[in-house]
Amino acid sequence: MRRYSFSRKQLAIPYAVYLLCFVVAPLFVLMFYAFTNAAGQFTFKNLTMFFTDPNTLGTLFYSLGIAFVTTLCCLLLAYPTAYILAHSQLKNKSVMLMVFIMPMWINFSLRITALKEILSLLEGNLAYHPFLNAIIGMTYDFLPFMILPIYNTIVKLDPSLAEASRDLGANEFQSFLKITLPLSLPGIISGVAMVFLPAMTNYVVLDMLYNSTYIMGSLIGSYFAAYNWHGGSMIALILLAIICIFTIFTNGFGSQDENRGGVLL
Amino acid sequence: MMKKTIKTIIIALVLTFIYAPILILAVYSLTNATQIGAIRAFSFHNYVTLFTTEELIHMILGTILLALVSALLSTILGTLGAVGAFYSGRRTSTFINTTNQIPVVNADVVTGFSICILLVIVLGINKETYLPLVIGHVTLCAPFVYLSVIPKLKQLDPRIYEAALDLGATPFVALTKIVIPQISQGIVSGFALAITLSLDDYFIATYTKPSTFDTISTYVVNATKGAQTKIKTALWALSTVIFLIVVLIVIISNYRTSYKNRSKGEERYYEKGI
Amino acid sequence: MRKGYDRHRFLPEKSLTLLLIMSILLSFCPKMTTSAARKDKIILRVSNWEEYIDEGDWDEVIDLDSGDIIGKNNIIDDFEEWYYDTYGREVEVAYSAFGSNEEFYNMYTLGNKYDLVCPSEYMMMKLAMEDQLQPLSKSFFDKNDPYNYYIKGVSPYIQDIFERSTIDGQPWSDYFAGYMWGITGVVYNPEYVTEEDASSWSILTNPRFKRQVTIKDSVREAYFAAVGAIKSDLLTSEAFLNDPNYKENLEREMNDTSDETIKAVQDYLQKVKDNTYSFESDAGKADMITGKVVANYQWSGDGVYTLDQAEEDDLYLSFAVPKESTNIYFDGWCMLKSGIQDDPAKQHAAEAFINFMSRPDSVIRNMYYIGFTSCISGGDDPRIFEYADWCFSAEEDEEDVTEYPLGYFFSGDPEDEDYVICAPTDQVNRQLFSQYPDEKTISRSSIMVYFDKETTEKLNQMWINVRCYNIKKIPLWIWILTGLGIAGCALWYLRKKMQKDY
Repeated sequence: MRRYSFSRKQLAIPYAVYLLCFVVAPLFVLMFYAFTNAAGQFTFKNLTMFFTDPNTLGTLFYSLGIAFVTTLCCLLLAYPTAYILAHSQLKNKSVMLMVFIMPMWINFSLRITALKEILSLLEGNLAYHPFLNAIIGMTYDFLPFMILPIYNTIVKLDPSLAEASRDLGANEFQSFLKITLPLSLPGIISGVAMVFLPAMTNYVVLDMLYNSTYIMGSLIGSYFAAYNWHGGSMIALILLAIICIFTIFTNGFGSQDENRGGVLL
Repeated sequence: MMKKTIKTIIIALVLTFIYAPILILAVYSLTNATQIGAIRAFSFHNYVTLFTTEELIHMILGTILLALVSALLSTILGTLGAVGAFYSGRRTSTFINTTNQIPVVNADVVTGFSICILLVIVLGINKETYLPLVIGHVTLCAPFVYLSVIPKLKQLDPRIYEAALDLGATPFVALTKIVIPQISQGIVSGFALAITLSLDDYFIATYTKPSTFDTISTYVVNATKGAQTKIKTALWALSTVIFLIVVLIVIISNYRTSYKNRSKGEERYYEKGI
Repeated sequence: MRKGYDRHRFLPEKSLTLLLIMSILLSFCPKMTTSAARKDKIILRVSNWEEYIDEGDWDEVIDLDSGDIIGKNNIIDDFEEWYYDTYGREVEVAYSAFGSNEEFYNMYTLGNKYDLVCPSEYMMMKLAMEDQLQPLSKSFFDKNDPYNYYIKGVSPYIQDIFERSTIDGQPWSDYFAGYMWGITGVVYNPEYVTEEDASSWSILTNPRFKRQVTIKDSVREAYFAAVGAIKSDLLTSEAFLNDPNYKENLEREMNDTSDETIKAVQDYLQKVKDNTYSFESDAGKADMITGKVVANYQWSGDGVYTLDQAEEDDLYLSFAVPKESTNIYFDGWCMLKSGIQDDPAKQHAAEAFINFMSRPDSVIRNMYYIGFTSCISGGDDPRIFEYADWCFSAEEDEEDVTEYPLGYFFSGDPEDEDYVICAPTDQVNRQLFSQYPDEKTISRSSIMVYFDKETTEKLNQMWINVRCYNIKKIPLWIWILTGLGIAGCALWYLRKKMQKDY
């Protein structure tokens, strides 16, 4: 018996090695650059510079703002959609779900170009609403990532729970609030994780929609493009640290759930 | 009744939001406009270009091939990793779980850049070998495969595997005949997700691709100082074609399931009975 | 039943796997064949700007007096064929494109390998100073070789600049063979913008065009414009203009990177950011044509393209060059040491490539296709001037015509009467003007040199500061809202925890 289970464990080796080589090692490369200067000497300057410069701090704040509002918009759009889909009487729900996911197969750069035209038709001069445009573009781009996990959680919920609460006297709204919503929290958290970070970093969407203000992604990208790998790496690490803190924090909310990321599909 | 209307309205609104830009692309793909916003006349030339320009076909096939290869590799790696980690000791599985999370939460710019630095600058691998590009995309996709397989493993009844062993199956047979089929749904959805991510990626490809190769997204985003719009507009035709394929798939599978559903009730019952 | 069900689920995967294996095998096939043929073929890795070369497949024939010119094939294929026919060796061009000088340099440092590249002059200077460039060989400058189209055809005006400008005492022309050149200016819609408004860099902060002007998303372009706007009064003063050393003074002023200037530029660009439509890297031309913006900071070559495209929609735009100064730029070919690696065959192919691109018919094809202006004037070959004449000269019956002398470019003599185009008067501030700016405009042009590392870093930092969101700009109500939000979250979290504990 022992021998058999050993062979199953071995399956993890290739992936573990892969992760070591191409996830952990690059991270160390980043750390090396983050804590050295152009002459290769150890320094904390990159770190202190980030936290003392009002411009970089402002950018952090601005991207957090964009990411927060984008995530909120995605959630507000995705939750009802996923809920309705999951509860619909349609024979083939997964096909219906595909309708919402498939646009991802058309590259985002093409879709955003088209979205830009619609927006300028509606708004007139796009440049007056840079923040709004960023939100709409990002929401548009990341919405499927929010619908997918929420749908997958809701569709797996046992309908008898909601029925039971109804039998015990709760009205439909109460039963939704007390039963369905808390139970679909893992899906929401998973969706938030999928949307929040890209919204802080996908600067191409912003560029294409004429938002000339940098977000974290463009800041990192512009450091790399200006051959300042040290500053860029440091900001990348800081961003990673911030995201980790967020993840731990949100994990605290949905702690009872084990298969968090798993609700993705 | 009222509620149904509201539901329909919500779905319709979201669908409009998602599909309006794609329909715009479709309309413009049928004109000879060079920029969106200035229609001149009806024309099929974008479709002609799409199917006859060698450069374009190379780019599209290259992008699709890259997506398939990296999705396949990441599916293999991610699935093996998930199965292995799930049955490993606590320390190994924690290591894999945590490390697996890094590419998921890391910014794509950073993933692409750091892999490029490691492979090209530190290890001196030539980008022309396509190795950095594939590795970059696998690093992007594999964690998501892993994440979609793990929950299926958790749903799995461990006793079936043991029973198979008791009945004389080797671990390999038990794995391929019992475990893999049970988690196949997770594997397939992981594969689909990997394809989607690879097709949509821009940041990793820019840092790791060979100079003579372009994916669709690097082409569209980088066509900056350009004067010619032939290929750019042909890509509108491409997105229309993709859109039509999606519609076709949806219609066909809808038809098939509604056909199949008639005989499916029995199976469901059987499945629950286990 | 059970078995059938399982098999059914498994099927699509199997076929998918098969398909994948096949596709992988297929993907290896072409590579194997190319590596077999590679042995005696010269592989030339060329990198150029995006869409900066003739890709063939035209509808129109250019019917010049000296014969028709048409681009049927991709010009690179034509080069490969020509090289084989002329020198009897096979060459394969691995062609790639970049979107900006910085992007090229970045990709180059991040491991892309090139033999022949086409950066702008300042990037060439940077590469030369880093000792990355392979000098052009002596035989390249031999006018007796019939195939040396470059040296026989290069414009005397351009050649003069290339010989006078130096890097560490060496003239540019040692490393650098011109491809295209141009100046920066403003494409504007005369319905909304007067020529006077468009003729100053301060249009970028002109409140009358709030959110209707675009500027390039590039540090150097933005810096140049900002310096021009800040120093507008000085640059246009009589004393400055009449100074005998006007040219040197101008170049010094426009390349001023003192700390005060950088600070002033940063403040100015901040204003620009609040006033313009966007910092664009691509969309400017399209936005001009579709009428989203009324003025657009543009390279002259792209200006030609924009004007042409807009005309097809019956929108007549114009091109103006700011009165303060304009940035003259040269994109040219240079060979990289790391790619050539002293391989004489490769260097020969690279130089032949430059020569082929400088052959008058190739020059016309490229110019026709991309809209920019070639550094080649043709020398003895009349076709390039004929092409300019073909493009711009007035029809016989047209009455409102202007004589537009181009001698400075074609023969080096501004008074040369052989090189005068009789153009419709409106062309004087339209395509003709942006394709071949007149001598008066050129006289107020300045090159923007390569700045040393420290200065470049300062400029980049300045640029990042402009583009970032300053934390001091966040209004109070957002701070309050954020604070309330965080407090709310914390409270809710605590309450939840307490509930759990009890």
